[in-house]
Amino acid sequence: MDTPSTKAERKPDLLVIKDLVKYFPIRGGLFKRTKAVVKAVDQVSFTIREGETLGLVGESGCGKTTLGRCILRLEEPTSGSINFMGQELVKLGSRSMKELRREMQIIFQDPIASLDPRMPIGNSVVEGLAIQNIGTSKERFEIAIKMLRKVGLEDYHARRYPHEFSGGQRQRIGIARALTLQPKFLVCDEPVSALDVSIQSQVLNILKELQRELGLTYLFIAHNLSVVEHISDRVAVMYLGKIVEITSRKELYLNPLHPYTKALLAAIPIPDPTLQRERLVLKGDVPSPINPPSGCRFHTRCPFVFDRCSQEAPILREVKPDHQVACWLTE
Amino acid sequence: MADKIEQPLLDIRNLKTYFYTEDGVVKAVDGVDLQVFPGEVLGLVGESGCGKSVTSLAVMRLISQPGKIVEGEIVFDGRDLVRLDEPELMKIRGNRISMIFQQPQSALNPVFRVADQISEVLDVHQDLGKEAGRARAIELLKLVGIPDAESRANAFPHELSGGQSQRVMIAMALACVPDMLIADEPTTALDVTIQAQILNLIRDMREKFGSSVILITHDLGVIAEMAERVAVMYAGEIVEQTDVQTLFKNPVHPYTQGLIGSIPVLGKVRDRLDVIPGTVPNLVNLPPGCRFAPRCQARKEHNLSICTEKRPSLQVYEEGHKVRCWLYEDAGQHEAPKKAKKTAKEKK
Repeated sequence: MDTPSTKAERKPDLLVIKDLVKYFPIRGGLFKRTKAVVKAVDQVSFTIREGETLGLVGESGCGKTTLGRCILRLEEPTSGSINFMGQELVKLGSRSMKELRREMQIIFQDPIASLDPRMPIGNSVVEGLAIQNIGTSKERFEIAIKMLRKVGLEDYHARRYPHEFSGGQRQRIGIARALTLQPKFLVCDEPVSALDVSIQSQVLNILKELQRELGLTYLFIAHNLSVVEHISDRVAVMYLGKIVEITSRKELYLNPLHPYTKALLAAIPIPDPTLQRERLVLKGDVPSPINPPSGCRFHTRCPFVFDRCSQEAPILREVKPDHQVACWLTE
Repeated sequence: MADKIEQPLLDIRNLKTYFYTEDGVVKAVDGVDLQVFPGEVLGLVGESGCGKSVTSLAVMRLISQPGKIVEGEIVFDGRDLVRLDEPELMKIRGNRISMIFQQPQSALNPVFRVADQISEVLDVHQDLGKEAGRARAIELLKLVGIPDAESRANAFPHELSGGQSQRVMIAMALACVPDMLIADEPTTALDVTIQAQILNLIRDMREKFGSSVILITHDLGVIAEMAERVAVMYAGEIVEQTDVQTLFKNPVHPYTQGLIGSIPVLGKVRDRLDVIPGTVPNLVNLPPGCRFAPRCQARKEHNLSICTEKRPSLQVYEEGHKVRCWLYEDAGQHEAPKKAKKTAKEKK
């Protein structure tokens, strides 16, 4: 069980993110002045190693999707640096970025919204190739069929339209589309949360098999910690625009250090009625990222809060090898 | 343990609810039998489109065009709800049976203050005046854990978070101390930490009010934490029904087994998840025979031909445990490859 994570540790870094910030201005009033900012991603730093799956977990509004989109520059970061295979992405011009997008693709949560309803899916799947001017249309169609087979669909599906597919099949199409350019890195943004459980497992298995076969690196974004634990080598936990803990999936489950991670683990219903668990139920709602709490952003809901927490923000620090936490309790 | 001598509070018998659409007749609920006993939490689990929500809407008699209850009885406390007229139903809905929904934000009226929406229920069913109604509404809001209830009572739904809206819905549902609460995916739209709060609240409220709860969900984790008995639905019918311990320890229907094997469980990482091949059948064009047959591995292993020809019935597997599967049912030439355990009565 240990081998994938220990192997991953030796692998070089594929993506190094440093102090990434994304603020969305809220404009209003007479001159559309910026009235406030949504601090969606605030000073986030982490690395993704070649061939691994980094899970990114957090509740809605914590900024996990924005973070994923910033990495692909689908969203312009406010500041910070994104280093992908030695290249700095933030300063890259649009032409070079387009070229680099061959190496980095994304799978969306809602596959139906990301497929053109009037285009046969065989064409949708290879649209990336068309944009990059690769191959003739006949060659591209052959690649489409090859990719569809790879995700468990049939040849004749290529001529069908998105509405003819079920949710699970559409997600497979989304995966096939992302893989046609033979990327190295894939952002999976909640790829299974819209699917039924029996279909979810099909898609998760396909993602794992393809990773093994093609040597892919994943950033797997999800709110479901059980799913993230299943697929990831390492897991990053996000709360209100900040990463609060990042470590190997085993360590995260066996030895979570941040109170939020502990609460998140305790809150997940486990399908075993014989299990007696200690309930650590957090009070209150997630605060708004427009005016996040001072100091540690979790201090308003933290059961272990003390003076320092509301005054000073803890920084993400390595407390053990390969285990980083941002919490004053561990300082 | 499963010795339920008491009368069921709700007894659904052979319920069929069809929708007459342009594409054909959608058999959303097709012959469901289900009992709910006083004070228990019954979990109704299944994937989207299996008919679990339609079953609950039928109990509330909230099926509207083009849907129709075509057959069956829904006996609640001795009366068949299917035969009641609208004024009679009004006396039961929100009073003796109430319901909370998946999207609390859309179930609340956006133009009324929350206290007014809660006191409306009290006004209709208990003739409580405006002042008394408001006081009771605030009391209920406190009970469901709305902080600063006096001032939040004047809030409009859009001013509440998802978790708070669900609390308001629960306050409203419990206003008249119903005998039965139907919770249709009450936490699906909520974040996990908020889900834990709401599940705790439903648990506390059940203890306080003693209401029966039908908890509808697709999440087996929620079922394991909340339910006492469970019915598993697939394509409009119940395929397995038993107490929650047995369901997870000894599931007998291939669909239930597949479902349990296909979910990732926190702390128990496996390399591969079990897969149920294929997809849920179209409810307009159902396969003949067992509805799960096209996806069933056990059928192939045992090489059963009857599965695609004849529909199995919901049979007693052991006491308190029913299953709808040809693996356990004899019929004419067909001999069940696995025998149902004998019930205590038959042993004697």
